[in-house]
Amino acid sequence: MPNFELITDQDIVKSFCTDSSNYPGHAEALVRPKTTAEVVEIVKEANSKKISVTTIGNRSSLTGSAAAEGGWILDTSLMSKIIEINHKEKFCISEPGPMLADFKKTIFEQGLFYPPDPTSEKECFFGGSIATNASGARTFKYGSTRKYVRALEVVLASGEVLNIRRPQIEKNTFGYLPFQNMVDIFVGSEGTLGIITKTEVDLIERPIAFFGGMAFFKTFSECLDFVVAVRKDLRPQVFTTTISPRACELFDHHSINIIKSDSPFKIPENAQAAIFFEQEYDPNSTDNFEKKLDAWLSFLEKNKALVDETIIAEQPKQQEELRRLRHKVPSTLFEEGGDYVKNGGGKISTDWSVPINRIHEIIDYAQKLATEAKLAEPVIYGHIGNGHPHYNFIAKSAEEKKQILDVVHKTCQKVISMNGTIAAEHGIGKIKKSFVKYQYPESIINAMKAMKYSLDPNGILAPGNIF
Amino acid sequence: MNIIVIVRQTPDTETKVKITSEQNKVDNAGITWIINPYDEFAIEKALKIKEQINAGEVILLACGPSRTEEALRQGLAMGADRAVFIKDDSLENADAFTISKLIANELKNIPCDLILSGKKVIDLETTQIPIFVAEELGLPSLSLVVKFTEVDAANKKVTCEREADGAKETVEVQLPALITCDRGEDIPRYASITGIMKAKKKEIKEVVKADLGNITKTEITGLDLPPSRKEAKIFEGEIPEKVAALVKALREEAKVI
Repeated sequence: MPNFELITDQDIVKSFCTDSSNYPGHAEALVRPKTTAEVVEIVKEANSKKISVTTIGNRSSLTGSAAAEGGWILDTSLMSKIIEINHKEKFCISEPGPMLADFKKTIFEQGLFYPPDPTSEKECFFGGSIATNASGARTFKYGSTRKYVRALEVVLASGEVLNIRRPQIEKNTFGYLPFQNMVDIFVGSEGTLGIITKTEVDLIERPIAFFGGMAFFKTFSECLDFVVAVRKDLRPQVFTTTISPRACELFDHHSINIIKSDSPFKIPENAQAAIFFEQEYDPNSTDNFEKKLDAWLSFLEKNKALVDETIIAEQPKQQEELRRLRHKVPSTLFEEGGDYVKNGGGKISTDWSVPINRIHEIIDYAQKLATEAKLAEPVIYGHIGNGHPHYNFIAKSAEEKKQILDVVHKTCQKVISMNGTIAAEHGIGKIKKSFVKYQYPESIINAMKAMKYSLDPNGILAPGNIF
Repeated sequence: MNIIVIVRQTPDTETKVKITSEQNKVDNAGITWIINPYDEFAIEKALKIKEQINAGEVILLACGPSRTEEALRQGLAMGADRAVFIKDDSLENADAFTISKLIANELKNIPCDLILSGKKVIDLETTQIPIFVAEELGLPSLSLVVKFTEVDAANKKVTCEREADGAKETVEVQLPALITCDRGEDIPRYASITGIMKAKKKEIKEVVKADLGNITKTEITGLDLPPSRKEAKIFEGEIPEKVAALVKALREEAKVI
């Protein structure tokens, strides 16, 4: 008899079967381990019986990666201890189960900072953010989750527990590059290679102060010009401009309409687009609030923002409000799309990304396709600073969904021709598998599959994800 | 028509309050300071009145230690015209009576028709300063005003709505008067980037604290944090057992069913 509880009551199991993509999952049972040893036991039992195991966090995935396709669901919510916060060497070791926002808050209150900030940070687990290499608004300055992962404890399908650490050496010529740094293989692997039971992440000094802001533009095109100007230097996280925002997020006129009804500040009537930004500063240095603000004002003026209407959020409550408004866009679309799921429609999210100097071109291309197909206009918002807008549609019917997907497929092919990616943020999961072929040659996809089946010969881990 | 807004500075609402080792003061280390939110509502209302009548000035008045200047700058960035600041670091823990006397004393020097303030200060939940000021100056005072329904600048009269326990009262008052403000439907405006820049050039007139002798009426002799909440009770076992235990606890311990 296995020494763990297998919950088979379908009333309970069903409530764990889908995620924020509304992908219809199903499973025979739910397991809720409390320790790595229990995870090992569960995986050994499942592997011996060739039962699949889909590991879930808080199921905020937008791609169905947390929606099980049969077998057991492994819920990580009872493994929620933050094991160590080390101030001297600035790292934190944690189990996967804390809610990411709570995890970050605990660290913040101790005077340190963990930068990754996916928009869903109040709804996703720390572990989920590792398994999906989550990113967010502040990725613009700080990079995505991967950059912060130092070490992992991973349970493989065989039950073997791997303890792997990012290499400390500066030179190494042995091994194919991905294998030189095994941590990076598992970060973002969407539960397909192993079950992450512990993670050690880098922490940094808490930024001393920052202000938020929202700048408005008379045309969408001028707004994009502004973003390109912010990122004049195309190397990531390098700024040659006088300003150095840590976030640079887009709102098109549809997103502006979404936030207008409960915006705590006045949105100019003639605004067709907006940029939400955050700027850090050090009040005790020469690079203080006034200096930064001066730099922003001249930059905004030079780049055609409506400066008199550009608002600044200096107080914590106001800064929080700006982030709330940013989050309101996807959550409103999610609700709106949810109304059409029963008709075979729903929200269609994209997370393609292109090098920033191609952003105009790709949006023009995508808009042209949408117009030609006579689709309702998409809502464009999000991480534009990284060349990564969310270009989202609401399909009202199955027929419309088909037309929209056709446009998205064509857009993604163009994205790849511009050296972009089809999945900058959400991963592949189950609903984006048909796009994979655009990005990598079949031989390389087969090599990835070979690695997956080498580590998980029975294919029990998160079946249906990625491949 | 000039409007004065009395502005206080308070710790941000998210502040985790710490108490000094002498147990009689709040430890200021690490606190983010903000404009008292109710005073922000008062500033917003003052700016709206000014926009409506298109005349006069909105003047901020603060009385406190040097750090309070930041709150004045923020109010000026919202759009107030100028500020007067009774600046003295010895006022860090001054009592409400002393602050009221100093404010009233300074108000005698600033010609105005309407004095606004928040209905309370969120740090020590004090509500008396504006009322003391009105008393000291012999002005009519109105509290908990949510809305100005009519401003008659020519006849120096305002009509406003005040709210208490769900009831609404419409009051007409002859100016000059002092009015404390609640939120109502007003959302304090965010400063614009140009507003903040202009605020840097606006006047903050510093005045020396009047020597009124020792007029302190109250002194905080001890401060305690509220007792921490009891831990949550977690029921163990199978679901039917847990449900039975929960129902028993709700009936017998919490006595709510």
